[in-house]
Amino acid sequence: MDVVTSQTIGVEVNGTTYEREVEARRLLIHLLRDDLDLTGSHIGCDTGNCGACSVILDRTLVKSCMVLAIQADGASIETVEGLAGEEQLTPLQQAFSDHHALQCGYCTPGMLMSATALLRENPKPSDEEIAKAIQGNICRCTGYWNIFEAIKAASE
Amino acid sequence: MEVLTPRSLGEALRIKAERPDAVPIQGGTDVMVELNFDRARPPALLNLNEVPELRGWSHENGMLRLGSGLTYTEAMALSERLRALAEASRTVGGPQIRNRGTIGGNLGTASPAGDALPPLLVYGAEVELAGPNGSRRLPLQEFLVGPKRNALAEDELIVAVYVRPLGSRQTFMKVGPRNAMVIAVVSLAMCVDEERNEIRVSFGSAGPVAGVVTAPLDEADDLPQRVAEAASPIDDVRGTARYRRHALQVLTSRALVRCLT
Amino acid sequence: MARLIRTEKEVEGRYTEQWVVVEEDAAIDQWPAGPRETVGRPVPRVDGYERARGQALFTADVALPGMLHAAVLRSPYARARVRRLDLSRAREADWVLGAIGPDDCDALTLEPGFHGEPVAAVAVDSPGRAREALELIDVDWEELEPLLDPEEAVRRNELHEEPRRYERGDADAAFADADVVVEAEYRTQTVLHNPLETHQSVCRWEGDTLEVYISTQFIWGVRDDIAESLDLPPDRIRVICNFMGGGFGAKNGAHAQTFIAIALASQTGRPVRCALSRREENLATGNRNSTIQRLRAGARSDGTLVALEGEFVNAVGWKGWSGPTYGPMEMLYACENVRTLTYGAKLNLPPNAAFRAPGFVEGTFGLECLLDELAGRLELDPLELRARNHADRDLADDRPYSSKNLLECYRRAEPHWARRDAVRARSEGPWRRGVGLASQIWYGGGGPPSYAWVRIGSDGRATVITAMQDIGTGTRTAMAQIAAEELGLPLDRVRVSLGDSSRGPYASISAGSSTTPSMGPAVRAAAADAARQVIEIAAQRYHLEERLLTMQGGKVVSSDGGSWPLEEVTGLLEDAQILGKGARGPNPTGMRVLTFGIQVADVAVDVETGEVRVERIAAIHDVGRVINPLGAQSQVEGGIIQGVGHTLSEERLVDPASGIVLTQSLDAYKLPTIADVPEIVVELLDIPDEHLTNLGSKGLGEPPIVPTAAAIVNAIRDATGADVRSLPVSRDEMLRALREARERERAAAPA
Repeated sequence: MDVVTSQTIGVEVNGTTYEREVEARRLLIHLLRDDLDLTGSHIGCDTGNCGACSVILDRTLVKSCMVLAIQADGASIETVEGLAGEEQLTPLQQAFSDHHALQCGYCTPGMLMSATALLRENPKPSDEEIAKAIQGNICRCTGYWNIFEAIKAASE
Repeated sequence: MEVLTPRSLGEALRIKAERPDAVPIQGGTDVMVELNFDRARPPALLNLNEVPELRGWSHENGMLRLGSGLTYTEAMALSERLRALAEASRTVGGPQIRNRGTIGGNLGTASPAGDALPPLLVYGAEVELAGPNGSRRLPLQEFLVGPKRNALAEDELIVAVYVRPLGSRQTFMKVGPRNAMVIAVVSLAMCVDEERNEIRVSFGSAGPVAGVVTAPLDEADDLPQRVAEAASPIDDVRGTARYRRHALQVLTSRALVRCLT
Repeated sequence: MARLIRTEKEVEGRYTEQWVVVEEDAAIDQWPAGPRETVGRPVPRVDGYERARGQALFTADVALPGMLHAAVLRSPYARARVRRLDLSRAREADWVLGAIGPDDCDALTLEPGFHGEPVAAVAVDSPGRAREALELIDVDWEELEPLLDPEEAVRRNELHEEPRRYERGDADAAFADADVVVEAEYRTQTVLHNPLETHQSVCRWEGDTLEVYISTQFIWGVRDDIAESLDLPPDRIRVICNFMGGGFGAKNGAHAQTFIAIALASQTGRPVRCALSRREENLATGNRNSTIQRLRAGARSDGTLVALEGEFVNAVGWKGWSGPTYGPMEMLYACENVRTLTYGAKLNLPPNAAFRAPGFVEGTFGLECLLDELAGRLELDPLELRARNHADRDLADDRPYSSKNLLECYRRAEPHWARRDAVRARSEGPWRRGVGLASQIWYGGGGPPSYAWVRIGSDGRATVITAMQDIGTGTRTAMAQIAAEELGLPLDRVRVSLGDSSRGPYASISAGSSTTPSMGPAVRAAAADAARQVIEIAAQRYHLEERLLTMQGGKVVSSDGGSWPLEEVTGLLEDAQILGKGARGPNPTGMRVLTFGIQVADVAVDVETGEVRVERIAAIHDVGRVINPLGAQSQVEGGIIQGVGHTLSEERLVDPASGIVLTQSLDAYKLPTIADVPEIVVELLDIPDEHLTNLGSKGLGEPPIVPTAAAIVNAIRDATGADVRSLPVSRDEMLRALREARERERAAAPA
């Protein structure tokens, strides 16, 4: 049993291992953004609604404002920064760019993680499955259709 | 605040007995909002993520045992056996919340709007609670004692829920102001129990606790009216009492069509 | 030579006269209508790469060395007086590095007038502990009775300004003569902008210069707000906004969070971030205020509108401005006799802020619903009624339009409108289907002053430099397209540098659908100036006549034959560059520059539960030349889905007794999700406005949200016969309207 008010945790983020001392209350999103300087994942709310902070935690899509950093101890995490190689975008990222699947782009990292999780499980999703996959991500700018089209294009 | 992370149920129960002020956290859907809003400052959290005994589901003596750590995503896959619960799970949050949120969380929070509660109530579910002196089971209806209040003792944890599979004549419906990520304005579960020759209905967000109404199969016609009368809804930011009562009547009629034809 | 002129400037329908300097250069002719090499073609976003990689640096992502984090103590009451504010415990705590009250910062007050108004603030090292530090501030509150009812405010004359009265013709006489008069009261709710990036600023003193990183729609407005408020020379304030996460009208100025961050940075000598939480955002950063509209229309039996009258109550809140809810009534139709009366009620509610076509969204809902009720009484086709009352000239200002193709929009709407029998026939069970439409009018002409530079380097690449901001609409891409077109360069050889007041000339606000029509012509003029210089240089170097030379395909091309890669010409300069300068010229004198359109909505209504589903919206808009059809389509879709949210699910609720805001989180305030999006068909006429600038482009950000609510509610009437007169169309409201319709039918039925 571990009883701590702060604790050293180890996480693997996008293939790199980090050890950090974190306070018990610290959220995973703050660990990523403030301690690891991975600012691609955004904060749009703190109630698990907007989805801008979505990351993949041990192969499961989660909202990182709803997970304590301590709960991610030992986990493997993927964020938007880990999707592409040095220069090349993934087909999904390229499709987002090509289809104007973003306006302000603030929600985009979360959208990309939700869509990435979908396409890994289900490389050829139906229209309904695509829509369901981003149900938990709010975009205030685009009206969603271009995001839908981009995911569809990347799935084909 | 401390975070206590046990690795087994035994360890979890020992900690809970020593630290009854530790708030259990599984998927975090409700607890994290309280923390992020600074509405709750518990001295400790009991992180149940690493307790294997709480995960998944299994068959046990003709019953289905659903671990309290069963996520909504996992429950969605039970549509063959527990269609209403699977349908309810599909309406919870978005994929991320369904991946983390658990039915144990719904039971622990005991909100009248908890989506898993009406299906479990129509199944006649029993809740298994474990404490320092062993475990006990009690019917879910007795477990839910008031709005956001349950019968859990401070040294106990919710371990599992037991339900009897009841065939496919069951359904769940929910009314919300938009089509995804909504807390129910009202929700309704119905199932036909052929063994007992009865229909059971449970509704959420229309009273201090999720309510249950039972009728013999041949008295189905009165059910919409009876359900509406059984509800004791209030006006709040999500809807009016008048609307909730009306909607329950409509949903019950529709659920009857789904379950009886 | 610089030319000084006095011209009219319009932002969000508010006109001012101002002096501007424009270039003396000969006017540049508009390009012919239709797609060109780059302009008018669908182009992926030039910043798609950064945004898709999570590399775009928003204000939320700015972390400066030594930066502190502010938290703001806000009034928990709608109206209160602070009897005593004691910061001493906060100032004594070693982990609290800054603490300020109203004495230190004008954005703080001891007499808060709305729930969430800032009273004091602290700064600490760790973002996690900032809120904790607020507990060290001791406040003795005296809660006061709030004024929350807008009608009561009107009765008590608690108004932001004198009531606005407008009249043309003789409305009373016209109503008396009318064959048919309809009247109704409409209400719209308060809605919240909710950009995903909340209001935030990071402020730092660098010597005597103040650096402000801010999520803003107007870099220069922030600079001027600060200069004026703190009495600083404007050029000692540097404002930076490279990527920003949406504004929709709520981020037009410096706002309280900037002044709080500045005061704390001054007190601590450290950079300070002041970022609002979502709940603070939904309390204190503005809203589209609720309205009450009592409207009356009179017509002859042939459908000619003879009189319109409206009394509008804008529930403005504690601060803000009374928006042009009256605008559509005065401007949309050729009605000779119009009278409006508008109140801006001062209430103990959070202040309003411009929100995507402020006033017109609300006013169009009332007017366009009333028009359909009139069409029903006249037994006239609603589209026909609108066409019959088309205004050929602006009657409100008695001016011609710079361009107007609304009748063409109506014509293009016909096939969508003609589907309504087929749509109605798809009604089944409790689901009734119908089609409705509504017309749109709004500003969107932009204007001066707006400036741009275009720099061409020896590598034959161009950079557009201007201190504008891209608020997410795709402005970077549109500006790159315009420069590429003028320079005959492929798009990938044009970069756009923006977002920094110390690295580029003055640029327009990104509000009032003005960015493209304001900035585009300046960018084109700058590119043309650079191209002229390239050609002059090439002519001298290769001994050619300038008039024979053009820039095409990355080359200088002579009509005699022969061409020289641009980099060969500019390479002559080695490391030096060519710099073109451009200014936005004035709007056409004596003309009204407006945007027009129509939307046709298909809805399905579950008459038992009151659920409304919007199934399809066709949007046809006349916004002049379209620069990037792909970006334009996305803007229209985004505007419509905000309109759908406004119509069906979004509502800021306030406790009617205390004035406490109940819907602060995104859990309680329902933004549309992908599951709420209808099929959307976008048709843009793409007809350049021949009188407007060297581009003929108007703005597009706002027009698409203007008619959506009315089109949906008119479709609900078509489907069910029920008159919804209040937004949002909650299920309660829908069932109420259905009950009323049934009662009306029963009363009308022969006994």
